[in-house]
Formats: sequence, structure tokens, C-alpha cells
Amino acid sequence: MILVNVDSLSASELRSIAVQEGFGNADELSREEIISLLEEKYEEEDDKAVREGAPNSRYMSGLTDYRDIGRYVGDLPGVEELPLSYPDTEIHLIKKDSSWLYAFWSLSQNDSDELQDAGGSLSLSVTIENNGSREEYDIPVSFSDSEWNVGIPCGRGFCRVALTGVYPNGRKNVLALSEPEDLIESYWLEHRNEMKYSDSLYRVYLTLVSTKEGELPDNPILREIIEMFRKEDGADE
Amino acid sequence: MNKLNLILHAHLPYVRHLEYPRFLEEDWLFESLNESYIPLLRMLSTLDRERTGFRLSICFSPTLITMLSDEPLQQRFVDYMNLRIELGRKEVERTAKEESECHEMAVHYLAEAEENLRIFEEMGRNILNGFKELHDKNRIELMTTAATHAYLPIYKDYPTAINAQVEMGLRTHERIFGESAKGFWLPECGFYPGLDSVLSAHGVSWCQLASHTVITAKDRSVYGGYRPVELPSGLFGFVRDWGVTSLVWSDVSGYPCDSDYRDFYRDIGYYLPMDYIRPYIHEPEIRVFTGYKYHAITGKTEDKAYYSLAKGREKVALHVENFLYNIRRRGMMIETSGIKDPVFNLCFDAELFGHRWYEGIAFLEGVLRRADASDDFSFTTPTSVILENGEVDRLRINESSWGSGGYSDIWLDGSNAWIYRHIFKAIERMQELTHRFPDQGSLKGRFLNQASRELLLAMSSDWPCIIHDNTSVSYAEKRLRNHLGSFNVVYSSMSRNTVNTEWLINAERSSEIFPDIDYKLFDPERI
Repeated sequence: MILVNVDSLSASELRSIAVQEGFGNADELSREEIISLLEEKYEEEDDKAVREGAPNSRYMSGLTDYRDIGRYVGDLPGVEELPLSYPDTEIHLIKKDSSWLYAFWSLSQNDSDELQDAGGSLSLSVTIENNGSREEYDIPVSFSDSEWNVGIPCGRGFCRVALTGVYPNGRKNVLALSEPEDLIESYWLEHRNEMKYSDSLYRVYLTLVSTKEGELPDNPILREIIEMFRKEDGADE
Repeated sequence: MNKLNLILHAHLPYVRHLEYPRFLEEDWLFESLNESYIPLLRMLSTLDRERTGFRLSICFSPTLITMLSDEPLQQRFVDYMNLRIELGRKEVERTAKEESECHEMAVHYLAEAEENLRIFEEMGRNILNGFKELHDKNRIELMTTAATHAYLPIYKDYPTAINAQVEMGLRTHERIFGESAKGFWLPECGFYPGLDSVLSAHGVSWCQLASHTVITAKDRSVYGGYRPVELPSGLFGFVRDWGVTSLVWSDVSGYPCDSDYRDFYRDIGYYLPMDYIRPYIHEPEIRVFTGYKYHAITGKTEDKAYYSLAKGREKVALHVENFLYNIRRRGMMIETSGIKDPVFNLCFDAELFGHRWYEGIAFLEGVLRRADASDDFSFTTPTSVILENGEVDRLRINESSWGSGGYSDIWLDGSNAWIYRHIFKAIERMQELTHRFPDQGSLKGRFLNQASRELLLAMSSDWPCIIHDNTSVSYAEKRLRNHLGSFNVVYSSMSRNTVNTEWLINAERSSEIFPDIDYKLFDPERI
């Protein structure tokens, strides 16, 4: 998608886009006023491109965007509306990044009624096993909740979540259990002591991942490792 | 010697709406054909004729090769080009009279469009024939990717879905190119531990990997990405060189940002009078790109300079030299660390060249010519590197991608997470259908096949990415809801043991992809 960089467009181009964006009075507005209106509209959408003024973010993405042109597209021959939820009790866990997992679940009407009739409540039970130690905790959730982000550490192990019914007498009943998600395990995070003897390897690593301006890819684990190498390198000097 | 392993990835989502006389999103294909794929083929064929010693790898996604082989879309491309040529002739006249600064480019665009259309017709309207010829001459290594370019890590709890994406990707490649692919482009560089086993089981030898994977791996990398990575299943990974590719990719300092290069945005479709431009934009009077662009990037100003072909060419020559200089310098640094003949894995989206970066094809040509003429470089492909049987890094790597942050944040965020609730359920129901109806032929078999087709199309990584980027969101959402809604038609009908024949015929007509699909792909016992 190619984002429109509004402040480099001519007044006529801007008017044309403004009309498409629903500003019917665009013909009466100055170039600056249109830019201001469009920037306001795009502020959330084009966060990076507009606020940082990155002139060529277009090169990073794949398709040409005709700027909200989709509203001119007639309805495709659609069939069934998607339901808001499905009548099964289940839970899923997906890795978002090295620090966060995304859990979502659904609860069947039967399970929900049974638990509520018994005066019970729902919990998201989180288990994290990391380097041989196990941590377990419960997050109370409401019957209308259906998703949660779970924070995880790096290490050798996994995280899994369960949707648990909690009864007034303290009894717990696992209603659904997710598949385990591996934690991010990294050799260098666990072998910092070897870094001081690996300066030549460090240079090779840096060559692969640093731009001519010295920028690194946007990856927190990589940045942490390179920072640790830098410190070890500095300590040697 | 620095080994250049250039890998281009050509992909577009499956967009085909014959129910409309013209459809905006089909222009994604037509623009890429006219501005990237045909110019790339022309350039590579010229180098081949001139015996320049180049080699590279190109991935054509199954959705793209299906569209490129589709006769109605081929006809629509011809219509698109004829319209573009008609506009070009008008532009040549107009600019001669009114805007002489643009005249040279108008003549240039017209000549390019005419030549591209000529080549297209000469290839029997299927440019894949030309790329296959280059493959047969050992100039390029053709590879494939997941059937609908699904971002695979998110589906790892569903081995049937992963297998269906891999198997239909490979099968489509084989059906169209007549031989199996050894290389598999991981959509968005998305990898998870275990995916290598799936690929190996299908006979794949190699894939590409994101830049951060080796340094953050579970094991100690000793070659830092400059030799192949042997994954636990024996599959080889080629690690994208961030340092070198960012010379082009960087949205701040990449070559395409140069002020002398042609500006992408300022297009006559947006600023010439409506009465003049109306026949060449979309109804009802929706201004869109026409491809006729006469200005240089210049800077963040309304007063853009006119584009000069000569200046553009000068800049290309400088950037080619700078690109090779950077690789040479990095190669020396790597060799001092004891790694002989480093392999530079240069992975790019093919549409960057020509379409988004107008001078990109000329840049690629310059790199191929200059590197061939130099003793410091040799071209290679992953299969050649593997066959050399040289040193490799044996590593276990983590889940990763080339998206922002290096994981799944683009395809899984607050805006698009809702889609997985529906897709996961559709996968489970598809598995269930294979159990309930294990051996259906004829109409019910076709009905079930259509369900698996709709499910694969819903899994495309393009839809969550478009929703995340907040660009053509309404189209992406409509496509997703349409595919999943269509899947549910089959599921609910089959639950009643009926087939909606009229719907089936329409659905098959609208998605003429994967003609050889078999719904039993989703049978868990088949894995």
C-alpha cells in the first residue's frame, strides 16, 4: 500500500483527494487548510508517515492504495454474515512478539449458564515454564471478555493459558486449554560471558544487521544482544 | 570473491472480478505487469542475449501465476494497455503544445507501453513463458511460496492448514511451470520451529530467513548469515542481508528517495482537467494513477522539478557503483574474520523495481552488468550454494518474520486480530467436514473443494496487512468476509446434507484458482 504524502501534493491533487475523503467544501479551502484537514484525518492511520514526515515509506510496502477507494467498490457477491462468536468453548494463544502473546476464547452458552447459575466466575489461568521453573497465575475475566494479551519473558520454556471456571467453594474447572507457545530462547542472552572472546564474530554480526548509518533492524532481542556485545567490546578496550 | 544471491519475490493477492466491467484493485496486477514484470523480463532477456553472466532467483506466488495465466485477466490487461497507449498518444500531442518539459517523458512512456504490449502479445499473453525460458537456461531459479501467501507462524497450531498452504503452493508451481520448486519463499519471512520439517517433507531444499534470525538463534552462529543455515530438518535457510538491502529499502536514506528520481505520486490522473482525463480514470470520475508522471521527487514541496531521464540515469550509475562498493567493503571486513567467499542474500519485493521505484529496473540491470564485469563478484542461487557442499551454520532458530519488530505484530494487532477467530474456526470445520464426508465425488466433492479454496483465500497475509496499514481496508474486509461467509455456506449446507448448486457455480466462476484442489488436504489423518 502506498500512503499519500499530503504535504508534497499540489493544491489540485489535494482537492481531488479531499473530495474523495468526504470534504465536500474542498474547493473553497486553501492548500494549507486541506493539508491540515487531511493530516488530522490521517493522523491515526498514517501515524509514522505523517508525523515523522517520512517521505518514502511507500517503498516498504506492497500495493498501491487508492486512498479509501474501497468505498466506491460495490458489494461483492457476499453470502453469509459472520457470527459475532461461535458456540464452542475453546481458547487459542498466538505469539505477537518476543514479549507478548495474544489469547482469545469463546464460551458455549451451556458452559456459561452452568457457571453463572452456580455463582461462579471466569479466570484466565496462565502457566509459564522458563528454564525449569514454573510460574502460574490467574487473571479474573468477565463473561463478556474474549481476548487478553499475556506478557512473557525470554528463556527456555513455554507459556500456555486455560479458561477456568472458578466456583464459590474455590473449586476450579479447566474449561479449555490452549496449545503451548514457546518462549524466545537465545544463545547469546544466555552466554554473555563468551562475548568478550567473540569480537571477530561480533563484527560479522554487525556487518549483516547494520545499515550504513549504523541503524539496526527493529527487533528487541537483536538490539539487546548487540548492546551487550558493545558493552563487552568497550570493557575490553 | 563476494557471492551475490539475489532473490526477488513477486506476489499480488488473487484479485479477479469479472462481474464488473473494470475493477480498481485489478489495476494492482496491470500496473505491476506494465511497470515491473514485463520490464524485468525485457531486461533479463537482453542481458541473456548479450551473454552477461548473471543469475538470480525469482519467486512467483501461486496467486500471481494464476492471474498471469488467466485468459480473461490477460484480455483485461490488453484493454488496460490500449487505454494507456491512447492516453500516451494524447499526451505526446498535448505536451508538444502545452508542456514541453514533459514531452520527452510522454514520448518515453508511450514507447515503453507499446513495447511492453508487443512483448506481452509475443509471449502469447503469458509472460511466465519468458521467465521459464530463462529458468531453463539456468539464468534464474524459479521458486514458489504458500498457496495464498498466508503468514504461516499464526497457523502453526493447525498442521493441516500449513500443509495445505505448502502443498497447494508447490503443486500450483509445478502445474504452471512443469517442474517442482526447490526453493520456498516464506511469506513475510515468517518462520516457526517445525516449519522446516513440513517444507523438507515436501521436497523443498531451501527458504529465505529474516535478518535477525541467526544472531538471536538458540544456537551459536559462527558465520553470521554469510553461509547457509542448516535447520534441524536439513532444510537450508538463506539469511537476508539487512545492511546491504537497506541501501535500497531504507525509507529515509534508500536510493529510491533520491530527489532526482521520478516522483511516484504526481500523476496526471490527479491534476489534469476532468474532461481530458475522464476516459482514463475510474467511473464515476474517481481520479487514480494513470502512470503518466512528469516530476522528480525534488523534496517535500509543492513545486516539484520536472523529471529528467538523463539525470535519473546518472543517479542510477552512481547508485550502482555505491551499492557494489558497499558489498565489496563489507566482503573485505567479513573475510578478515575468517569467512571465505561470503554469500550476500539480497531479498527484495519484485514490484519495488519499476513500479514503486521507477529507475529500479535500470538499477538492477546496472548491478548485474557491473558485477559480472568485476572479478570481485560472482552471482549464485541458493541451490548452487547448497550443491557446493560448503560450510554451513547448524542452527535452531526462533519464530520470526521480516515485519516491524521481527515477529507477528503486523498480522496480529488490535485492528486485525478478529479475523483469526473466524479463520481458525473455519479450519476446524473444514477438518470436521473431511471426517464427516471422507470420500465425496461429483457435486458434493466440488462443493467441499470450493470450501477449501475459500478457506485458503481467506488465509492470505495481504488482508490483515492491509487492515493493519489502514489503506484499502474496506476491500480487504469485504474479501475476508466474503471468503469466510462462502465457507460457511458450504458448512451449513453440508450440515443439512444439501448442495447449493447455483451458489457453487457462481463461486467456482469467481475464484478460478487451484483447479486441482482436493478438500481432503484438510484431513488431519493425512498429515
